[in-house]
Amino acid sequence: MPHRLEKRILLEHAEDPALRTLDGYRRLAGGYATLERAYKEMEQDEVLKRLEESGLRGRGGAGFSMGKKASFLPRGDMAKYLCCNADESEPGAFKDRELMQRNPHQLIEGIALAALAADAGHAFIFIRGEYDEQADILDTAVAEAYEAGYLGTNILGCHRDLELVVHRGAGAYICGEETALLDALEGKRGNPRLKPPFPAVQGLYGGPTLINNVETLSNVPHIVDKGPDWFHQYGTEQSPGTKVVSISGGVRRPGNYEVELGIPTRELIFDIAGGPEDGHEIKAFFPGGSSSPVLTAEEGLDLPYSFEAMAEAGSMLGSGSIIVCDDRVSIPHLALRTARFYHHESCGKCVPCREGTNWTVKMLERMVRGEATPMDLDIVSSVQQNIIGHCLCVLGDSMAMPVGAMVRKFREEFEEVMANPELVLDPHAVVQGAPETLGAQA
Amino acid sequence: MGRYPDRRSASIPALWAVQERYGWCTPEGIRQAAAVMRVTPAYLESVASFYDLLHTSPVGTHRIEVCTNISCWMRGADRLLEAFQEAAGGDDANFYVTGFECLGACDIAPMASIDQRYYGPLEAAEAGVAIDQLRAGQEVLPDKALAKRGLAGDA
Repeated sequence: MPHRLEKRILLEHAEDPALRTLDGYRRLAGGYATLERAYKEMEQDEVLKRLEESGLRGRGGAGFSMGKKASFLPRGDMAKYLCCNADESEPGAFKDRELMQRNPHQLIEGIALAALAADAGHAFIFIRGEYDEQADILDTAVAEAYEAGYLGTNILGCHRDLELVVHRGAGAYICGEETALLDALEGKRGNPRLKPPFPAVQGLYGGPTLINNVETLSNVPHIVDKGPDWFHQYGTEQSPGTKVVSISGGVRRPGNYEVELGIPTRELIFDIAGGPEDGHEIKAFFPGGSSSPVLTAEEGLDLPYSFEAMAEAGSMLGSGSIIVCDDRVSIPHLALRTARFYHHESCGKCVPCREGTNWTVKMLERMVRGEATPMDLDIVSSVQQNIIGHCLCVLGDSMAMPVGAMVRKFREEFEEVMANPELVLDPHAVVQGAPETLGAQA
Repeated sequence: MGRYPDRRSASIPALWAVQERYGWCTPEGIRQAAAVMRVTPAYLESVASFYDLLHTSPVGTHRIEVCTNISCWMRGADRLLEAFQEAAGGDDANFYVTGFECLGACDIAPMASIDQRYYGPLEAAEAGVAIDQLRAGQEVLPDKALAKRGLAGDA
Protein backbone atom coordinates (compact mmCIF):
# COMPACT_ATOMS: atom_id res chain seq x y z
CA MET A 1 0.00 0.00 0.00
CA PRO A 2 1.26 3.47 -0.81
CA HIS A 3 1.83 5.86 2.08
CA ARG A 4 -1.34 7.78 3.02
CA LEU A 5 0.32 11.02 1.95
CA GLU A 6 1.20 9.71 -1.50
CA LYS A 7 -0.98 10.36 -4.53
CA ARG A 8 -0.15 7.89 -7.24
CA ILE A 9 -1.13 8.76 -10.79
CA LEU A 10 2.00 8.00 -12.79
CA LEU A 11 2.94 5.17 -10.45
CA GLU A 12 -0.56 3.74 -10.13
CA HIS A 13 -0.43 -0.07 -10.47
CA ALA A 14 3.36 0.21 -10.68
CA GLU A 15 3.75 -2.45 -8.00
CA ASP A 16 2.38 -4.98 -10.50
CA PRO A 17 5.11 -6.30 -12.83
CA ALA A 18 2.42 -7.02 -15.45
CA LEU A 19 2.08 -3.28 -16.06
CA ARG A 20 5.27 -3.49 -18.06
CA THR A 21 3.61 -5.49 -20.81
CA LEU A 22 1.20 -4.16 -23.39
CA ASP A 23 -1.59 -6.46 -22.18
CA GLY A 24 -1.01 -5.47 -18.58
CA TYR A 25 -0.97 -1.77 -19.42
CA ARG A 26 -4.28 -2.12 -21.27
CA ARG A 27 -5.89 -4.22 -18.58
CA LEU A 28 -4.68 -2.39 -15.48
CA ALA A 29 -4.51 1.19 -16.69
CA GLY A 30 -6.82 1.26 -19.70
CA GLY A 31 -3.70 1.92 -21.75
CA TYR A 32 -3.70 3.35 -25.27
CA ALA A 33 -7.42 4.20 -25.13
CA THR A 34 -6.46 7.88 -24.99
CA LEU A 35 -4.13 7.47 -27.94
CA GLU A 36 -6.90 5.86 -29.99
CA ARG A 37 -9.34 8.59 -29.08
CA ALA A 38 -6.84 11.37 -29.79
CA TYR A 39 -5.66 9.97 -33.12
CA LYS A 40 -9.19 9.28 -34.30
CA GLU A 41 -11.15 12.19 -32.91
CA MET A 42 -8.84 15.05 -31.98
CA GLU A 43 -7.00 17.64 -34.00
CA GLN A 44 -3.44 18.70 -33.24
CA ASP A 45 -4.72 21.97 -31.76
CA GLU A 46 -7.06 20.24 -29.36
CA VAL A 47 -4.27 18.11 -27.88
CA LEU A 48 -1.96 21.11 -27.71
CA LYS A 49 -4.65 23.19 -26.03
CA ARG A 50 -5.16 20.62 -23.31
CA LEU A 51 -1.46 20.49 -22.59
CA GLU A 52 -1.14 24.26 -22.50
CA GLU A 53 -4.15 24.75 -20.25
CA SER A 54 -3.00 22.02 -17.88
CA GLY A 55 -0.02 24.15 -16.89
CA LEU A 56 2.15 21.02 -16.77
CA ARG A 57 5.68 22.14 -15.98
CA GLY A 58 8.74 20.30 -17.22
CA ARG A 59 9.90 17.69 -14.73
CA GLY A 60 13.52 17.58 -15.92
CA GLY A 61 14.77 20.56 -13.96
CA ALA A 62 13.87 23.86 -15.61
CA GLY A 63 10.14 23.68 -14.84
CA PHE A 64 9.11 25.37 -18.08
CA SER A 65 5.53 24.97 -19.30
CA MET A 66 5.40 21.86 -21.48
CA GLY A 67 2.44 23.00 -23.59
CA LYS A 68 4.02 26.34 -24.28
CA LYS A 69 7.24 24.66 -25.35
CA ALA A 70 5.30 22.48 -27.77
CA SER A 71 3.46 25.50 -29.15
CA PHE A 72 6.79 27.16 -30.07
CA LEU A 73 7.34 24.65 -32.84
CA PRO A 74 6.59 26.21 -36.22
CA ARG A 75 3.86 24.74 -38.42
CA GLY A 76 4.61 23.45 -41.88
CA ASP A 77 5.76 20.44 -43.88
CA MET A 78 9.35 20.32 -42.64
CA ALA A 79 10.51 17.27 -40.71
CA LYS A 80 9.91 17.76 -37.00
CA TYR A 81 11.29 15.72 -34.15
CA LEU A 82 10.49 14.78 -30.61
CA CYS A 83 13.17 13.75 -28.13
CA CYS A 84 12.44 12.20 -24.81
CA ASN A 85 15.21 13.08 -22.41
CA ALA A 86 15.90 9.93 -20.42
CA ASP A 87 19.50 10.81 -19.65
CA GLU A 88 18.71 11.17 -15.95
CA SER A 89 22.17 11.80 -14.51
CA GLU A 90 21.63 14.45 -11.87
CA PRO A 91 23.05 13.20 -8.59
CA GLY A 92 20.07 12.39 -6.38
CA ALA A 93 17.62 11.77 -9.24
CA PHE A 94 16.33 8.29 -9.99
CA LYS A 95 12.63 8.82 -10.75
CA ASP A 96 12.80 8.35 -14.53
CA ARG A 97 14.50 5.01 -14.00
CA GLU A 98 11.51 3.87 -11.94
CA LEU A 99 8.96 5.20 -14.45
CA MET A 100 10.65 3.48 -17.40
CA GLN A 101 11.25 0.27 -15.55
CA ARG A 102 7.72 -0.10 -14.24
CA ASN A 103 5.54 1.68 -16.78
CA PRO A 104 7.25 1.94 -20.18
CA HIS A 105 4.01 2.02 -22.16
CA GLN A 106 2.76 5.09 -20.32
CA LEU A 107 5.84 6.88 -21.63
CA ILE A 108 5.37 5.56 -25.16
CA GLU A 109 1.72 6.65 -25.19
CA GLY A 110 2.80 10.06 -23.88
CA ILE A 111 5.38 10.35 -26.65
CA ALA A 112 2.84 9.43 -29.32
CA LEU A 113 0.41 12.06 -27.98
CA ALA A 114 3.08 14.74 -27.66
CA ALA A 115 4.19 13.93 -31.21
CA LEU A 116 0.61 14.56 -32.30
CA ALA A 117 0.62 17.92 -30.52
CA ALA A 118 3.94 18.90 -32.08
CA ASP A 119 3.21 17.24 -35.45
CA ALA A 120 6.48 15.31 -35.15
CA GLY A 121 7.02 12.26 -37.33
CA HIS A 122 10.17 10.95 -35.72
CA ALA A 123 10.75 10.45 -32.01
CA PHE A 124 13.73 9.31 -29.97
CA ILE A 125 14.16 8.21 -26.40
CA PHE A 126 17.69 9.20 -25.39
CA ILE A 127 18.43 6.99 -22.42
CA ARG A 128 21.69 7.05 -20.48
CA GLY A 129 23.95 4.10 -21.25
CA GLU A 130 24.08 3.06 -17.60
CA TYR A 131 20.33 2.31 -17.67
CA ASP A 132 20.89 -0.79 -19.78
CA GLU A 133 18.22 -2.77 -17.97
CA GLN A 134 15.62 -0.04 -18.49
CA ALA A 135 16.63 0.38 -22.14
CA ASP A 136 16.02 -3.34 -22.69
CA ILE A 137 12.56 -2.94 -21.13
CA LEU A 138 11.84 0.02 -23.43
CA ASP A 139 13.06 -1.91 -26.48
CA THR A 140 10.59 -4.68 -25.70
CA ALA A 141 7.75 -2.24 -25.06
CA VAL A 142 8.43 -0.27 -28.25
CA ALA A 143 8.42 -3.50 -30.26
CA GLU A 144 5.04 -4.40 -28.70
CA ALA A 145 3.65 -0.97 -29.55
CA TYR A 146 4.78 -1.29 -33.19
CA GLU A 147 3.22 -4.72 -33.35
CA ALA A 148 -0.09 -3.39 -32.04
CA GLY A 149 -0.09 -0.55 -34.55
CA TYR A 150 0.38 2.32 -32.09
CA LEU A 151 3.67 3.24 -33.75
CA GLY A 152 4.85 3.02 -37.34
CA THR A 153 3.11 4.06 -40.55
CA ASN A 154 -0.58 4.86 -40.84
CA ILE A 155 -1.19 4.50 -37.10
CA LEU A 156 -4.69 3.07 -36.39
CA GLY A 157 -5.60 3.86 -40.00
CA CYS A 158 -5.41 7.60 -39.34
CA HIS A 159 -2.80 8.45 -41.99
CA ARG A 160 -0.28 9.53 -39.39
CA ASP A 161 3.21 8.11 -39.02
CA LEU A 162 5.52 7.99 -36.05
CA GLU A 163 8.87 6.26 -35.81
CA LEU A 164 10.24 5.78 -32.30
CA VAL A 165 13.87 4.82 -31.65
CA VAL A 166 15.41 3.98 -28.28
CA HIS A 167 18.90 5.48 -28.37
CA ARG A 168 21.40 4.54 -25.68
CA GLY A 169 23.92 7.13 -24.56
CA ALA A 170 27.35 6.15 -23.33
CA GLY A 171 27.94 7.91 -20.04
CA ALA A 172 28.07 11.70 -19.97
CA TYR A 173 26.06 13.91 -17.62
CA ILE A 174 26.22 16.78 -20.09
CA CYS A 175 23.98 14.87 -22.53
CA GLY A 176 21.05 15.63 -20.26
CA GLU A 177 21.44 19.25 -21.36
CA GLU A 178 19.03 19.48 -24.25
CA THR A 179 21.35 20.82 -26.95
CA ALA A 180 24.18 18.48 -25.93
CA LEU A 181 21.63 15.68 -26.13
CA LEU A 182 20.92 16.69 -29.73
CA ASP A 183 24.63 16.62 -30.58
CA ALA A 184 24.98 13.20 -28.97
CA LEU A 185 21.96 11.98 -30.90
CA GLU A 186 23.50 13.26 -34.11
CA GLY A 187 26.50 11.07 -33.33
CA LYS A 188 28.90 13.70 -32.07
CA ARG A 189 30.61 14.45 -28.79
CA GLY A 190 27.94 15.81 -26.49
CA ASN A 191 28.74 19.50 -26.43
CA PRO A 192 26.04 22.09 -25.78
CA ARG A 193 25.09 24.55 -28.52
CA LEU A 194 24.66 28.28 -28.46
CA LYS A 195 21.05 29.33 -27.84
CA PRO A 196 19.19 30.87 -29.60
CA PRO A 197 18.21 29.33 -31.92
CA PHE A 198 16.28 27.19 -29.49
CA PRO A 199 15.65 23.53 -30.35
CA ALA A 200 11.97 24.29 -30.94
CA VAL A 201 13.06 26.25 -34.02
CA GLN A 202 16.28 24.54 -34.99
CA GLY A 203 17.10 21.34 -33.18
CA LEU A 204 17.84 17.80 -34.25
CA TYR A 205 19.25 17.69 -37.82
CA GLY A 206 18.37 21.37 -37.99
CA GLY A 207 14.63 20.68 -37.75
CA PRO A 208 12.15 21.93 -35.14
CA THR A 209 12.45 19.67 -32.10
CA LEU A 210 10.46 19.23 -28.92
CA ILE A 211 12.50 17.89 -26.00
CA ASN A 212 10.79 16.69 -22.85
CA ASN A 213 11.71 14.69 -19.80
CA VAL A 214 10.40 11.17 -19.14
CA GLU A 215 8.17 12.22 -16.26
CA THR A 216 6.75 15.17 -18.21
CA LEU A 217 5.78 12.90 -21.11
CA SER A 218 4.40 10.28 -18.74
CA ASN A 219 1.91 12.90 -17.54
CA VAL A 220 0.63 13.54 -21.06
CA PRO A 221 -1.77 10.58 -21.48
CA HIS A 222 -3.51 11.48 -18.21
CA ILE A 223 -3.92 15.12 -19.15
CA VAL A 224 -5.15 14.45 -22.68
CA ASP A 225 -7.56 11.86 -21.30
CA LYS A 226 -9.02 13.66 -18.30
CA GLY A 227 -8.43 17.30 -19.22
CA PRO A 228 -6.73 20.33 -17.71
CA ASP A 229 -9.35 20.90 -14.99
CA TRP A 230 -8.82 17.44 -13.61
CA PHE A 231 -5.05 18.05 -13.57
CA HIS A 232 -5.45 21.35 -11.73
CA GLN A 233 -7.20 19.74 -8.78
CA TYR A 234 -3.78 18.39 -7.76
CA GLY A 235 -0.87 20.48 -6.62
CA THR A 236 -0.73 24.25 -6.38
CA GLU A 237 -1.86 26.91 -8.82
CA GLN A 238 1.61 27.44 -10.24
CA SER A 239 2.75 23.85 -9.80
CA PRO A 240 -0.18 21.69 -10.79
CA GLY A 241 -0.15 17.91 -10.69
CA THR A 242 1.82 15.29 -8.86
CA LYS A 243 5.56 14.77 -8.73
CA VAL A 244 7.60 11.66 -8.35
CA VAL A 245 10.14 12.71 -5.75
CA SER A 246 13.40 10.82 -5.30
CA ILE A 247 14.51 10.98 -1.68
CA SER A 248 17.93 9.70 -0.66
CA GLY A 249 20.83 10.24 1.72
CA GLY A 250 20.29 10.35 5.46
CA VAL A 251 16.72 9.10 5.67
CA ARG A 252 15.36 5.78 6.82
CA ARG A 253 13.29 4.94 3.75
CA PRO A 254 14.97 6.33 0.64
CA GLY A 255 13.02 5.85 -2.58
CA ASN A 256 10.64 7.31 -5.14
CA TYR A 257 7.38 8.68 -3.81
CA GLU A 258 4.65 10.31 -5.88
CA VAL A 259 3.00 13.23 -4.09
CA GLU A 260 0.95 16.29 -4.93
CA LEU A 261 3.16 19.31 -5.50
CA GLY A 262 2.95 21.73 -2.59
CA ILE A 263 3.06 19.06 0.11
CA PRO A 264 4.98 20.29 3.18
CA THR A 265 8.62 19.33 2.76
CA ARG A 266 8.68 18.11 6.36
CA GLU A 267 5.97 15.54 5.61
CA LEU A 268 7.93 14.30 2.62
CA ILE A 269 11.17 13.84 4.51
CA PHE A 270 9.83 12.77 7.90
CA ASP A 271 6.48 11.04 7.39
CA ILE A 272 7.03 9.48 4.01
CA ALA A 273 10.79 8.85 3.94
CA GLY A 274 11.05 8.13 7.66
CA GLY A 275 13.26 11.07 8.64
CA PRO A 276 16.83 10.77 9.89
CA GLU A 277 18.06 7.83 11.93
CA ASP A 278 17.57 7.83 15.69
CA GLY A 279 19.76 10.26 17.53
CA HIS A 280 20.48 12.35 14.48
CA GLU A 281 19.16 15.55 13.06
CA ILE A 282 18.89 16.97 9.60
CA LYS A 283 21.54 19.54 8.95
CA ALA A 284 20.76 20.52 5.38
CA PHE A 285 19.25 19.13 2.22
CA PHE A 286 19.32 19.57 -1.53
CA PRO A 287 15.70 20.15 -2.59
CA GLY A 288 16.21 19.41 -6.28
CA GLY A 289 19.27 17.34 -6.96
CA SER A 290 22.90 18.23 -6.45
CA SER A 291 22.58 21.30 -8.70
CA SER A 292 20.15 23.04 -6.37
CA PRO A 293 21.52 25.32 -3.65
CA VAL A 294 21.38 23.52 -0.30
CA LEU A 295 18.82 24.66 2.23
CA THR A 296 19.46 24.39 5.95
CA ALA A 297 16.87 22.49 7.97
CA GLU A 298 15.52 25.75 9.43
CA GLU A 299 15.20 27.35 6.02
CA GLY A 300 13.67 24.51 4.13
CA LEU A 301 11.72 21.98 6.15
CA ASP A 302 8.61 24.10 6.59
CA LEU A 303 8.32 25.18 2.96
CA PRO A 304 5.77 23.65 0.65
CA TYR A 305 7.42 21.43 -1.92
CA SER A 306 6.60 23.38 -5.08
CA PHE A 307 8.47 25.11 -7.90
CA GLU A 308 7.54 28.57 -6.63
CA ALA A 309 8.30 28.04 -2.93
CA MET A 310 11.74 26.60 -3.63
CA ALA A 311 12.56 29.42 -6.05
CA GLU A 312 11.47 31.98 -3.47
CA ALA A 313 13.79 30.40 -0.91
CA GLY A 314 16.70 30.89 -3.32
CA SER A 315 16.89 27.28 -4.42
CA MET A 316 14.98 25.21 -6.93
CA LEU A 317 12.76 22.19 -7.23
CA GLY A 318 14.82 21.04 -10.22
CA SER A 319 14.21 17.40 -11.03
CA GLY A 320 12.50 16.87 -7.67
CA SER A 321 15.27 14.97 -5.94
CA ILE A 322 15.85 15.48 -2.26
CA ILE A 323 19.24 14.54 -0.82
CA VAL A 324 19.20 14.71 2.96
CA CYS A 325 22.39 15.38 4.94
CA ASP A 326 22.24 14.61 8.62
CA ASP A 327 24.51 16.01 11.34
CA ARG A 328 27.30 13.56 10.55
CA VAL A 329 27.95 15.01 7.11
CA SER A 330 30.95 17.30 6.77
CA ILE A 331 29.80 20.18 4.56
CA PRO A 332 33.29 21.01 3.20
CA HIS A 333 33.68 17.40 2.11
CA LEU A 334 30.19 17.48 0.66
CA ALA A 335 31.15 20.59 -1.32
CA LEU A 336 34.26 18.83 -2.59
CA ARG A 337 32.32 15.74 -3.62
CA THR A 338 29.78 17.92 -5.43
CA ALA A 339 32.46 19.98 -7.18
CA ARG A 340 34.39 16.90 -8.28
CA PHE A 341 31.33 15.61 -10.05
CA TYR A 342 30.88 18.76 -12.13
CA HIS A 343 34.61 18.94 -12.77
CA HIS A 344 34.53 15.42 -14.12
CA GLU A 345 31.42 16.03 -16.23
CA SER A 346 32.30 19.46 -17.65
CA CYS A 347 32.55 18.99 -21.42
CA GLY A 348 35.32 21.57 -21.63
CA LYS A 349 33.73 23.78 -24.25
CA CYS A 350 33.38 26.99 -22.19
CA VAL A 351 36.30 28.37 -20.22
CA PRO A 352 34.48 29.53 -17.03
CA CYS A 353 33.07 26.05 -16.47
CA ARG A 354 36.14 24.07 -17.53
CA GLU A 355 38.57 26.16 -15.47
CA GLY A 356 36.17 27.16 -12.71
CA THR A 357 35.23 23.61 -11.79
CA ASN A 358 38.91 22.64 -11.84
CA TRP A 359 40.01 25.48 -9.57
CA THR A 360 37.10 24.98 -7.21
CA VAL A 361 38.07 21.35 -6.71
CA LYS A 362 41.72 22.27 -6.13
CA MET A 363 40.83 24.94 -3.58
CA LEU A 364 38.38 22.73 -1.72
CA GLU A 365 41.00 19.99 -1.58
CA ARG A 366 43.42 22.47 -0.08
CA MET A 367 40.83 23.45 2.50
CA VAL A 368 40.11 19.94 3.73
CA ARG A 369 43.87 19.27 3.91
CA GLY A 370 44.28 22.33 6.10
CA GLU A 371 46.51 24.11 3.59
CA ALA A 372 44.21 26.99 2.78
CA THR A 373 44.08 30.54 4.10
CA PRO A 374 40.86 32.30 5.18
CA MET A 375 41.10 34.40 2.02
CA ASP A 376 40.54 31.26 -0.05
CA LEU A 377 36.91 31.11 1.05
CA ASP A 378 36.27 34.46 -0.58
CA ILE A 379 38.15 33.40 -3.68
CA VAL A 380 36.05 30.24 -3.96
CA SER A 381 32.92 32.37 -3.66
CA SER A 382 34.11 34.77 -6.33
CA VAL A 383 34.97 31.91 -8.68
CA GLN A 384 31.38 30.69 -8.34
CA GLN A 385 30.07 34.16 -9.16
CA ASN A 386 32.24 34.27 -12.27
CA ILE A 387 30.83 31.02 -13.59
CA ILE A 388 27.12 31.73 -13.19
CA GLY A 389 25.54 32.90 -16.43
CA HIS A 390 28.81 32.92 -18.38
CA CYS A 391 28.59 29.63 -20.24
CA LEU A 392 26.54 28.11 -23.05
CA CYS A 393 24.77 25.75 -20.68
CA VAL A 394 24.12 25.59 -16.95
CA LEU A 395 26.53 22.81 -15.99
CA GLY A 396 28.97 25.29 -14.46
CA ASP A 397 26.13 27.09 -12.71
CA SER A 398 25.02 23.76 -11.34
CA MET A 399 28.25 23.52 -9.42
CA ALA A 400 28.52 27.21 -8.61
CA MET A 401 25.06 27.48 -7.03
CA PRO A 402 25.28 24.65 -4.48
CA VAL A 403 28.96 25.18 -3.67
CA GLY A 404 28.39 28.93 -3.32
CA ALA A 405 25.43 28.27 -1.02
CA MET A 406 27.42 25.84 1.11
CA VAL A 407 30.26 28.32 1.62
CA ARG A 408 27.80 31.08 2.44
CA LYS A 409 25.60 29.11 4.82
CA PHE A 410 28.26 27.00 6.53
CA ARG A 411 31.18 29.39 6.53
CA GLU A 412 32.02 28.65 10.16
CA GLU A 413 32.31 24.96 9.48
CA PHE A 414 34.65 25.64 6.56
CA GLU A 415 36.81 27.85 8.77
CA GLU A 416 36.88 25.22 11.47
CA VAL A 417 37.93 22.51 9.03
CA MET A 418 40.58 24.73 7.50
CA ALA A 419 42.06 25.42 10.92
CA ASN A 420 41.80 21.86 12.25
CA PRO A 421 41.72 19.36 9.38
CA GLU A 422 42.33 16.50 11.84
CA LEU A 423 39.15 17.33 13.75
CA VAL A 424 36.93 17.00 10.73
CA LEU A 425 33.94 14.72 10.85
CA ASP A 426 34.76 11.38 9.33
CA PRO A 427 34.55 12.20 5.65
CA HIS A 428 33.72 8.63 4.73
CA ALA A 429 30.67 6.57 5.34
CA VAL A 430 28.80 9.00 7.45
CA VAL A 431 25.42 7.36 7.44
CA GLN A 432 25.89 3.86 8.75
CA GLY A 433 23.74 0.83 8.43
CA ALA A 434 21.52 -0.32 5.64
CA PRO A 435 18.29 1.56 5.04
CA GLU A 436 15.05 -0.09 6.05
CA THR A 437 13.65 -2.44 3.49
CA LEU A 438 12.16 -0.55 0.58
CA GLY A 439 9.49 -3.02 -0.20
CA ALA A 440 8.70 -6.62 -0.85
CA GLN A 441 10.16 -8.54 -3.72
CA ALA A 442 8.26 -7.66 -6.84
CA MET B 1 21.97 3.17 -39.45
CA GLY B 2 18.67 2.82 -41.23
CA ARG B 3 16.84 3.79 -38.07
CA TYR B 4 18.19 7.33 -38.20
CA PRO B 5 17.55 10.16 -40.66
CA ASP B 6 21.33 10.74 -40.67
CA ARG B 7 23.76 7.82 -40.62
CA ARG B 8 26.15 9.62 -38.28
CA SER B 9 23.58 9.21 -35.51
CA ALA B 10 24.59 5.57 -35.43
CA SER B 11 28.05 6.36 -34.11
CA ILE B 12 27.34 5.61 -30.44
CA PRO B 13 25.41 2.41 -31.22
CA ALA B 14 28.22 1.38 -33.59
CA LEU B 15 30.81 1.92 -30.87
CA TRP B 16 28.70 -0.10 -28.44
CA ALA B 17 28.74 -2.89 -31.02
CA VAL B 18 32.52 -2.65 -31.38
CA GLN B 19 32.91 -2.81 -27.63
CA GLU B 20 30.66 -5.82 -27.38
CA ARG B 21 32.63 -7.64 -30.07
CA TYR B 22 36.16 -6.83 -28.90
CA GLY B 23 35.71 -6.01 -25.20
CA TRP B 24 36.80 -2.42 -25.80
CA CYS B 25 36.90 0.05 -28.69
CA THR B 26 39.98 -1.32 -30.43
CA PRO B 27 41.59 0.63 -33.29
CA GLU B 28 40.75 -2.23 -35.64
CA GLY B 29 37.12 -2.30 -34.49
CA ILE B 30 36.85 1.45 -34.90
CA ARG B 31 38.31 1.20 -38.42
CA GLN B 32 35.74 -1.43 -39.36
CA ALA B 33 32.83 0.57 -37.93
CA ALA B 34 34.08 3.73 -39.63
CA ALA B 35 34.28 1.94 -42.98
CA VAL B 36 30.68 0.75 -42.67
CA MET B 37 29.46 4.18 -41.57
CA ARG B 38 31.56 6.02 -44.17
CA VAL B 39 33.14 8.33 -41.60
CA THR B 40 36.81 8.60 -40.65
CA PRO B 41 38.22 6.42 -37.84
CA ALA B 42 39.45 9.61 -36.16
CA TYR B 43 35.89 10.89 -36.02
CA LEU B 44 34.66 7.77 -34.23
CA GLU B 45 37.67 7.84 -31.94
CA SER B 46 36.85 11.39 -30.90
CA VAL B 47 33.33 10.28 -30.05
CA ALA B 48 34.53 7.21 -28.14
CA SER B 49 36.96 9.20 -26.05
CA PHE B 50 34.22 11.59 -24.91
CA TYR B 51 32.03 9.01 -23.18
CA ASP B 52 32.78 7.28 -19.88
CA LEU B 53 31.25 3.95 -20.83
CA LEU B 54 33.20 3.56 -24.06
CA HIS B 55 36.73 2.34 -23.43
CA THR B 56 39.62 3.24 -25.69
CA SER B 57 42.05 0.96 -23.86
CA PRO B 58 41.65 -2.68 -22.77
CA VAL B 59 39.36 -3.37 -19.81
CA GLY B 60 38.42 -6.57 -17.98
CA THR B 61 35.67 -8.95 -19.01
CA HIS B 62 33.60 -7.98 -15.99
CA ARG B 63 32.98 -4.29 -15.44
CA ILE B 64 32.16 -3.04 -11.96
CA GLU B 65 31.26 0.59 -11.51
CA VAL B 66 30.85 1.70 -7.90
CA CYS B 67 28.88 4.91 -7.47
CA THR B 68 30.84 7.37 -5.32
CA ASN B 69 28.55 10.37 -5.61
CA ILE B 70 26.87 12.18 -2.71
CA SER B 71 24.13 9.79 -1.59
CA CYS B 72 26.28 6.68 -1.95
CA TRP B 73 29.29 8.42 -0.39
CA MET B 74 27.20 9.18 2.69
CA ARG B 75 26.43 5.51 3.04
CA GLY B 76 29.94 4.18 2.63
CA ALA B 77 30.70 4.09 -1.10
CA ASP B 78 34.41 4.74 -0.66
CA ARG B 79 34.81 1.65 1.50
CA LEU B 80 32.72 -0.37 -0.93
CA LEU B 81 34.97 0.68 -3.81
CA GLU B 82 38.06 -0.28 -1.84
CA ALA B 83 36.51 -3.63 -1.02
CA PHE B 84 35.79 -4.33 -4.69
CA GLN B 85 39.33 -3.33 -5.66
CA GLU B 86 40.80 -5.61 -3.02
CA ALA B 87 38.53 -8.52 -3.90
CA ALA B 88 39.32 -8.21 -7.60
CA GLY B 89 42.97 -8.53 -6.71
CA GLY B 90 44.26 -5.40 -8.34
CA ASP B 91 45.96 -7.01 -11.31
CA ASP B 92 43.30 -9.55 -12.26
CA ALA B 93 42.73 -8.76 -15.93
CA ASN B 94 39.23 -10.22 -15.77
CA PHE B 95 37.93 -7.38 -13.66
CA TYR B 96 37.64 -3.70 -14.32
CA VAL B 97 36.71 -1.90 -11.11
CA THR B 98 36.19 1.84 -11.06
CA GLY B 99 34.54 4.56 -9.03
CA PHE B 100 31.76 6.20 -11.02
CA GLU B 101 29.61 9.31 -10.89
CA CYS B 102 25.94 9.07 -9.87
CA LEU B 103 24.39 6.02 -11.49
CA GLY B 104 20.84 7.07 -10.66
CA ALA B 105 20.09 4.58 -7.92
CA CYS B 106 20.48 6.59 -4.71
CA ASP B 107 17.57 4.63 -3.22
CA ILE B 108 19.80 1.56 -2.96
CA ALA B 109 22.94 3.40 -1.81
CA PRO B 110 25.68 2.34 -1.67
CA MET B 111 25.40 0.54 -4.95
CA ALA B 112 27.36 -0.77 -7.88
CA SER B 113 26.70 -1.59 -11.49
CA ILE B 114 28.09 -5.02 -12.29
CA ASP B 115 28.12 -5.88 -15.99
CA GLN B 116 25.46 -3.23 -16.63
CA ARG B 117 23.07 -4.45 -13.93
CA TYR B 118 22.40 -2.61 -10.66
CA TYR B 119 22.89 -4.05 -7.15
CA GLY B 120 22.37 -2.46 -3.75
CA PRO B 121 22.38 -1.58 -0.94
CA LEU B 122 25.72 -3.34 -0.58
CA GLU B 123 27.85 -4.07 2.46
CA ALA B 124 31.60 -3.94 1.91
CA ALA B 125 31.78 -7.68 2.63
CA GLU B 126 29.47 -8.40 -0.30
CA ALA B 127 32.09 -7.16 -2.76
CA GLY B 128 34.11 -10.34 -2.23
CA VAL B 129 30.98 -12.47 -2.57
CA ALA B 130 30.11 -10.82 -5.88
CA ILE B 131 33.64 -11.26 -7.25
CA ASP B 132 33.64 -14.95 -6.25
CA GLN B 133 30.27 -15.44 -7.92
CA LEU B 134 31.54 -13.81 -11.09
CA ARG B 135 34.63 -16.02 -11.06
CA ALA B 136 32.45 -19.12 -10.62
CA GLY B 137 30.04 -18.03 -13.32
CA GLN B 138 27.12 -17.89 -10.88
CA GLU B 139 24.27 -15.43 -10.57
CA VAL B 140 25.53 -12.32 -8.81
CA LEU B 141 23.98 -11.24 -5.48
CA PRO B 142 20.45 -12.37 -6.38
CA ASP B 143 18.95 -10.72 -3.30
CA LYS B 144 20.43 -7.35 -4.10
CA ALA B 145 19.39 -6.99 -7.75
CA LEU B 146 17.50 -3.78 -8.44
CA ALA B 147 15.19 -5.55 -10.87
CA LYS B 148 13.75 -7.63 -8.01
CA ARG B 149 12.89 -4.75 -5.74
CA GLY B 150 9.42 -3.48 -5.03
CA LEU B 151 8.29 0.12 -5.00
CA ALA B 152 9.37 2.25 -2.06
CA GLY B 153 6.61 2.50 0.51
CA ASP B 154 4.92 -0.77 -0.48
CA ALA B 155 5.61 -2.92 2.52
